[in-house]
Amino acid sequence: MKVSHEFRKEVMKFFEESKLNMCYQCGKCSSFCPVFWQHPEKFNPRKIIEMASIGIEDIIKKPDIWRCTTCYECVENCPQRVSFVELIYALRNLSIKKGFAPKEALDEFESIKKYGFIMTATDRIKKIRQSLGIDSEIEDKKEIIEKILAKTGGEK
Amino acid sequence: MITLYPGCLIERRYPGFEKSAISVMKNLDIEFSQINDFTCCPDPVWVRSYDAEIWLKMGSRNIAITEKEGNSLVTLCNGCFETLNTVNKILKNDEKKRTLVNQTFSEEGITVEGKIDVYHLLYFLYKEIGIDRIKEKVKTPLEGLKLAPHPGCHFSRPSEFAETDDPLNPQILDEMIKVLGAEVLEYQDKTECCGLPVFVSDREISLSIANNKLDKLLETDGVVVICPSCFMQFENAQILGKRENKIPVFYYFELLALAMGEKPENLGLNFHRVNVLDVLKNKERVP
Repeated sequence: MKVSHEFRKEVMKFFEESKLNMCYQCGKCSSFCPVFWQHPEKFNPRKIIEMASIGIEDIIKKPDIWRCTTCYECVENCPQRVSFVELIYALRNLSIKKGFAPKEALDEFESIKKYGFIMTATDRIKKIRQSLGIDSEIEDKKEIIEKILAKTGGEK
Repeated sequence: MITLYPGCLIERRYPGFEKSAISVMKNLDIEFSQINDFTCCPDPVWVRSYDAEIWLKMGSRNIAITEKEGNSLVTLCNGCFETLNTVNKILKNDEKKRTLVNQTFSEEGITVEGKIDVYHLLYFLYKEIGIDRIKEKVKTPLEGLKLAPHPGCHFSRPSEFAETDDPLNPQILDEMIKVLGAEVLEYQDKTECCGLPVFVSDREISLSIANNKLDKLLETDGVVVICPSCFMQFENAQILGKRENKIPVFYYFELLALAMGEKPENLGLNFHRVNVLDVLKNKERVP
């Protein structure tokens, strides 16, 4: 495993150095993590913080960072209030930008680009809405997302 | 006056939940508007994972629309609450990010300050309407039902932004279940996640988390959620896992609407994939 000062800097673009440096590796995050309880071999928050703060780029190539449920038990129980979940978002953003993310991580965003929502409303759902007496004129909002993307570095 | 934000999953998959919430609000004389211009909140997990800047901008646009109306924004989903509430507070407190967002939308004449209040409907009822007024409207209490509260993660966490319930020992949903006249099941790991956010990236982890939770709820008449994602996960886990004695999953506002006298057929309870009508029939809650 290679230590990269450059990678450490990149992480810091998304996540304040001061926050990451607050971690003293006590491991309380892992002991409160529902994923770690059941699958310690697959996901260990303490270790992910360690690798990110040292600057080991391999961490964004691994499936581990995609196994956080973002439940925030770790953050609420951290004696130093390090936001592990924010770090996970930073690492995932980097993993996507560099093309290491698994396909499943991109699927939902494809739907959002298509509809402006996670999903479109099927005719069946529109009929159910009608039968329940609530608004059944449900529209997609593709063009709004296109505009936002165009002003945020656009397509990835 | 409030603006209702139903969110993708409720608007496009579980419309009965929207109907339940509307039924409850009408019963309590809460005036609300619905806006057709919203997009996805967006999803705090997969959009923020994809690009936190796009997440912030999409969320800000929804906040800007509500700000123009001058209303508070009320969501029906923990995920929507997390995104919209967090984005609203980022806009309010982080000048750099607020400027970035306003530059993006300057051509469209949209400006946003982050000055609205964002609520989950459960918290809005608890805080702004009050337990006593809700109790007055309960016409047919759900006596005899023993229910397990699952408030879900993002109703009260991260507490730094949520500022609702105790993040490690939430009580609001318990209290709101008691208002229905039902009994609350105390169980271990009430605050534990449903596991949905990793369903697409690691199904084994996701389902084991859900099943671990469901295994603790065998002695109940149902688990009560306030989030359509938790709902989807608990139904899916039971159907995919071919669980023999299935545990009914209720969306809280369905139960509140029933207790206020709404007919089950008006709420779409028949669209649940894990049957809930039988347990309600056994307790003589539905004909």
